[in-house]
Amino acid sequence: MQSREVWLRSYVTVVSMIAIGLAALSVIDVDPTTAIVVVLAVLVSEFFSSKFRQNVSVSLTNVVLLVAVLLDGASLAVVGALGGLPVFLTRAVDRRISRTVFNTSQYVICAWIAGTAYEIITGELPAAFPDTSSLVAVMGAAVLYSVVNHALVASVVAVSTTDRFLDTFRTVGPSILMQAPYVGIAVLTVVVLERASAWALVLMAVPALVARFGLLAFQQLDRSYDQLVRNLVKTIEIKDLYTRGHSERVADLSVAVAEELGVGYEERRVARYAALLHDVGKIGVPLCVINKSGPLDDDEFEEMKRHPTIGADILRDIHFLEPAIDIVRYHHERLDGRGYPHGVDEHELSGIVRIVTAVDAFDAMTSTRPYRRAMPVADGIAELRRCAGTQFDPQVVEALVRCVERLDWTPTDMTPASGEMPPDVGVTSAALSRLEREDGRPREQVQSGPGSEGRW
Amino acid sequence: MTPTESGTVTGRLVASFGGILLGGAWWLLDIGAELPFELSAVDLLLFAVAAAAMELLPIRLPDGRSVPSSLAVVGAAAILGAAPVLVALIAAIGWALAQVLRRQDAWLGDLALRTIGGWGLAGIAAIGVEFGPATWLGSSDVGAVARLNVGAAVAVTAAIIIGMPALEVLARTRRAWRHALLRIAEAIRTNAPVGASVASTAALGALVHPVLGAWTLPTMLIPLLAARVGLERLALGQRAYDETIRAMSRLPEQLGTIEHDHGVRVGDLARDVAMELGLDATAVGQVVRAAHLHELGRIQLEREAPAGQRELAVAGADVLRQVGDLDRVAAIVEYHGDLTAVRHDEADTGLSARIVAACCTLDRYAPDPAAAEQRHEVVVRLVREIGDLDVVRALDQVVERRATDVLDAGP
Repeated sequence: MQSREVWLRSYVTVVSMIAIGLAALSVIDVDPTTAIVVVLAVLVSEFFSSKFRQNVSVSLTNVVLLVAVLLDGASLAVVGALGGLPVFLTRAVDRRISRTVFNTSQYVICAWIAGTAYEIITGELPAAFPDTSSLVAVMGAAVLYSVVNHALVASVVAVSTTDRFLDTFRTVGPSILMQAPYVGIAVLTVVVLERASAWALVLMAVPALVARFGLLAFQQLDRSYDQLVRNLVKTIEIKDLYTRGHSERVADLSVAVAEELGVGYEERRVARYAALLHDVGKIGVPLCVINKSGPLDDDEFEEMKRHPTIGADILRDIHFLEPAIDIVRYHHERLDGRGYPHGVDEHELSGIVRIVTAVDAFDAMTSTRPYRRAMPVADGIAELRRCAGTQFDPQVVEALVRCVERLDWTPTDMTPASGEMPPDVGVTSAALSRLEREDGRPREQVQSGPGSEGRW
Repeated sequence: MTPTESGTVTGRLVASFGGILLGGAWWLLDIGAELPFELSAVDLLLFAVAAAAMELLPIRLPDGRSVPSSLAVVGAAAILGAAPVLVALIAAIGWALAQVLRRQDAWLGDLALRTIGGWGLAGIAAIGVEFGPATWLGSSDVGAVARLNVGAAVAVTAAIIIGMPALEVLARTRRAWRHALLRIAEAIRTNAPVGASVASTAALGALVHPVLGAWTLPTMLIPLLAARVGLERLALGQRAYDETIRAMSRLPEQLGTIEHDHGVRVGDLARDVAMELGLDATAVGQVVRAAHLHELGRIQLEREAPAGQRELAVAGADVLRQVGDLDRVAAIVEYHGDLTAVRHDEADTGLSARIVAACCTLDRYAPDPAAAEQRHEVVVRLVREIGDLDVVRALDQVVERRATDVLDAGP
């Protein structure tokens, strides 16, 4: 552990020394007024970066640095990159000085490499901005900027954690594709600045501000929506003595397993809501059946079997849930076709349905029920493995086991207050096999995967 | 022809004649001399392809409508001073190409509107040059000058931000003309961010075209596409929220004491009544949500024992207050169960509650708009129970219109 810290400090020191050297050489080479404007532009762009989605922020710093390259070459871009320093200093997650120093330094190095590449390419090509060859040059510079940025971040992550360099560097692909719009905006900016008037930048700022307004308003709405769905589920669960908190636990653990299996962000997001709502159909099942602590008779079991269909019917008009509505409809189905209510087999069960099915069963097993206490986690895992291939997807089961170990999952052993407890408590194997009753317990915090921002 | 079609046709005819007349201004005012821009065949093709690409990427608004982002391309050609025939051609080819790619048919009417829209936009730019400030923006010490006629840009901007939403509202409006101005103001306000983005992109394109030439289109559209990403996410989020509220209206139905889709029907009815009464868009949205969720209290109470209307309304309001961000909707739901409890300083909430209560009663006791006698009985009952003649009259008019629509549509 200590040697990792030493390596990290050494690495950050080397990177920062290179950056300081480049900055010192560049400062003497730029017009002070222009440099101040670019530094302020970087500062503003970093300060107003918008969260696009979980772990991904969007800022126009790349654009500002590319504009600097186009206006006055590598030196101006290097000095401009220093503008990020105050924002990094105030926004660093852990306020560690080494993180701030590294992020500023890597911006400086990236800017210098991109600027130098542009100068070299345009020096060899008959470029006269904005002809095709100069556009090719600026595109090359932007790609290089992105590659170096990702390489530096991946390397510091590899030095400071157990993550491998390639795991982090892998996100460079989409990032390179994102350079095309950045280049376009940079070219527009330079044309407007050089051939028209700085006032005309307003024409570019309007759509950019609208984009930011849209993202911010969406974030606020997304929070409201999240609150709406979670509280709605809580309201429905409140009279179900043994399932309080179950849906939220299933949603969180399903997202963790989906992440473990490499499911994309959007699919995970939709799946989370579908998992949260997977038992919403229980509203249509009489409370006496829901809360019955003894074995269900055939009629009661038939009532219970309707809840996935009722749930899918309730949610049928929510378009964004469409790709994941099978989670609600099929969460009691099995790979061998012996589940309920439809009896569909593995051909009908998508990957995300298999995840929620396994997580739902696991949370049920490791929670206290009317007819038995919560199973220990090890027993739950053993049961999942025993049923892998017939009831559950083996790959999903193994991913779930890894997540459970990583999250240090503990059984939910919370019984309802005595006043809430139904009188006819009894334990039968029939009830065990038929019902998956759960109750609440404190929510586990699921850790998110690494983001794709070009910062440490 | 249904009344809806008739309303749309009237609006379209107004828009068409207006567009044709505006396009004529280009020649009358001799704009060609002011803006000597001649589109080459390659330019025309590039503009048309860009228009087609942007047709495929319309910007959706949170209220569900969408704005064609191809307006930015067509607007740029108009500001540059291209002849109306060419601008109309760009709009038409772009739209037709997009329709082919979308594999959609039955679009001659829309094609004509797009063509006339392009034609009219060129004329509006001409008027801007003639009557607007004679200002050229642009200078250069190093090469070609980026030039923008401010008058043309302002005129096209006004047309996109104010004229188009207004025309759209007029085209949609059928009988509620007395609230048309309010709807136009709302449409302009809702459209403003998108309209401003589209118009500024058009102006930007016209500005940099002399310098960037063929590179203009792929670069000028990037900021607009960024705006589209932001607004698209917002629109999708809003849609998901509204659809979830609508889905929540089905929760109490599962308990078996109210009819299937009662909440959805009351929501639709309440929307029309609120609009008939001239409520603004925010208030209409809250009324619709409250109407969808007015029976929600049953999930708290009826799982154990049937409860009275007042108790159900209070329980529903409690649930809504717990789920967050729906306090005003909760108040409407609460008051709809006891209209006498509305405080003097909550007149607007009281009106919304009366709308929900009236629509709920009508849907329960006279669900078929064509059953006139049944409806008359309910209206008499509502006058007595609700005590708000405006609400009852508006409800009666909305249902009468629905009955006419049903009869016109035939069996």
